[in-house]
Amino acid sequence: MSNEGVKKTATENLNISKYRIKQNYQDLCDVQQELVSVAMKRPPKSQFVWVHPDQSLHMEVAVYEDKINQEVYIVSQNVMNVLEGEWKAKVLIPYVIRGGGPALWPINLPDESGKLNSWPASAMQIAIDHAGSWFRLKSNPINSRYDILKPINQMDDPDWPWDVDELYEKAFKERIIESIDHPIVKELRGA
Amino acid sequence: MLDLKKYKKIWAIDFEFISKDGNNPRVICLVALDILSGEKIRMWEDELYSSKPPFEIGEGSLFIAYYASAEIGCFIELDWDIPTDIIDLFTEFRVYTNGQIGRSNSNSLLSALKYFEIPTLGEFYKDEMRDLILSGGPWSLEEKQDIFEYCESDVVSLRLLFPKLADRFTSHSLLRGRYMSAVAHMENQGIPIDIPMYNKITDNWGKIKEELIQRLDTEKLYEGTTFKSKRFEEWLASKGYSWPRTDKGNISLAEDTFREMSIVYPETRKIHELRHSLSKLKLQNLMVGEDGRNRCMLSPFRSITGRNQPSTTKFIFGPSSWTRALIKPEEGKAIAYIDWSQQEFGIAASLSQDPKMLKAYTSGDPYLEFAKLAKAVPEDATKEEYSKERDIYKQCILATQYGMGAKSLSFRINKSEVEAQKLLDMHRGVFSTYWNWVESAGDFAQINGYIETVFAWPLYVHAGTKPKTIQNFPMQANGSEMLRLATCLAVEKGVSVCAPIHDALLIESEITCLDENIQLAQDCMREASRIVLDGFELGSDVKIVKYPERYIDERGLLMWKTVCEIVGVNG
Repeated sequence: MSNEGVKKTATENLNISKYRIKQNYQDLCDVQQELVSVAMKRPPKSQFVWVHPDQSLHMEVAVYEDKINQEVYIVSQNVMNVLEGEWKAKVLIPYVIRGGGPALWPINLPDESGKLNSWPASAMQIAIDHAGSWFRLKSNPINSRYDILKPINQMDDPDWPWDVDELYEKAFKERIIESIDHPIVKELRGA
Repeated sequence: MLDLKKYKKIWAIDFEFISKDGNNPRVICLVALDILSGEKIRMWEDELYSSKPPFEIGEGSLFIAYYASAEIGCFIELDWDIPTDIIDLFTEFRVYTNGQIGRSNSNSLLSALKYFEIPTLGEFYKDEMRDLILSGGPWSLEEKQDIFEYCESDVVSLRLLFPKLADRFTSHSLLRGRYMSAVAHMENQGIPIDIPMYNKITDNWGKIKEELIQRLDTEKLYEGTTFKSKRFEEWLASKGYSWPRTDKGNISLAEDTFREMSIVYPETRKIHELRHSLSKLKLQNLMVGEDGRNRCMLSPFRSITGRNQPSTTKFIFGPSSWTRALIKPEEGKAIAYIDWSQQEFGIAASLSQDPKMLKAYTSGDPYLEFAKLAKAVPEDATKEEYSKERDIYKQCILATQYGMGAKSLSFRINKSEVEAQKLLDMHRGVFSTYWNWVESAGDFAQINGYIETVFAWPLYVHAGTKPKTIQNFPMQANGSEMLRLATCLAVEKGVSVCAPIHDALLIESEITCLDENIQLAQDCMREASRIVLDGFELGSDVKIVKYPERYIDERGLLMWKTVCEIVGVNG
């Protein structure tokens, strides 16, 4: 070879691979993602969502919507009578936002007479029929219903590492009206 | 920790030498001190050039120096064999402090001594002695004695600095010392320059500047030799080009902006080259030796990621890209520029073990594969058919490597910020394993206060460390490790390496054995990637320049041709 200046091979006996430090930070770093809160809201219309296809994860609840503060509360059975007419029966359906965390989609259930508005009816149909695939909600005010847009080429299913009990626990945290002493009850009763 | 007991001798060494304008050093004297026994060696120029090393250089001896590439450069100049085990205290001081809060940028021996509160000689005395040495002699007996004393004072400083750093020494320190030896070989080799052309350009630079404006400023952006930003703004508007602005709302004229925007609007490349050449180019500062070779300090381990950081005016790869055409192999010789294919992407894929990223890299065209994974092009799409889409996804990959946001990417792809954000989101979605790993690396760095490469080049992390710095560190700093290792292997196997350039090696060879040398260098680069990436191999691409051709960087071709026309030379 042409490099005559090299007089001696330096440290050739140093077994370099032996001194390699691993870069597997996920194993080295003892952290895990903590679910801090879970929103109970309709999927945003600007983002793709994926509804979990397992219907056993759905939960039927009584929901009070504080429309002024845009908060949603779960009404426990023992105060349902006290708040009669204020709450609605809804089903909560777990979903995940593309690139984001999980959330619960509250959809109205039929009332005692079996009637259901066309908006929640279409929402329910979408949540059942299109679960397990990515879609984006779109309002169709002319026909009073939701439509969906689906990517022509479906993206991969998202990771779903969350435990369903934990999901509901985080969603309901500080959002359950379980006694007549709850500030919402007091407010509604004019106290 | 390194077992220092295995060494019978630990030689602290320092040479005084004169190194002028790209020439190899003229060695004046040596002082060596065995810090174990106190044995001391002093040798003057005449003795040095006519003898062999005055110490054992094999495995029983450890050599310590501050900026060891300079000392090893003297070994090469003296035609001495190179020590086997070298620890460079400059490099180890960088390892000790890299990224530390409140550290100044100075990493001189004086700064290191001050850092550890070791008494030092005054700066004034040092300057005085340097001037005496650089006078070139002849020196009186008394002056020689003064120079020896001065040289010895640095050796004593090394002896005092050594124990402050020694408990951090590991086998990685030896690997870094090994690289300093390779650097010395590259600095000795230098890069061949077309001297007649270089002289012609520097001698006529005033005239060339004026002519360049006349010939290339077709947009009329100059008034005399002054670039008028208002005219540039108007020209951009007339073309309908959107251009980044400064916080104050002015058109950005920053180097980085021009570099990025020239990808979107290739016409602005010429404007950038011209502007840069007229305002920044100081070709006379290029360090060219009497033998017509560009030699300067390659400044290893200077950057935060451990990369080399040679002077942008002294090193031929520093100034405007057109000046690289001054690189021209000598008769019968050739040079080859060998760079890893998509090195950062390959490192990211391998270290994160992201299956889709690995697939994209091994496909040979990560950009097209990303477009396929994002379902933006069909599975059987080709580079030729879908070049537009491929380019958008390429810019997205590059943007993530540079830590760019949607705004910068939107300029690069000439689309809206919303569309750019969608692309970035797509990158996160498709390469989710990689992004999780990047996040974990950031968590690790913050929890432990540091992050390090496979061979322990660290970055100390504090509240002021930018998240992007941490995010990019594993790719860039491990890329730097890879280049250092490849350089060591190539130099030790006898390849004439002229210089390392970011993720590439520039080698030189007789044309008769060029293929063999390229093969050898590529093997070394492959081996280095395999070692750094735990078995994963990165390929490399080669650009060959044979005498009488010259090295041409396509980005500077128009400027080069124009300069050649002005000086009346067929370039």
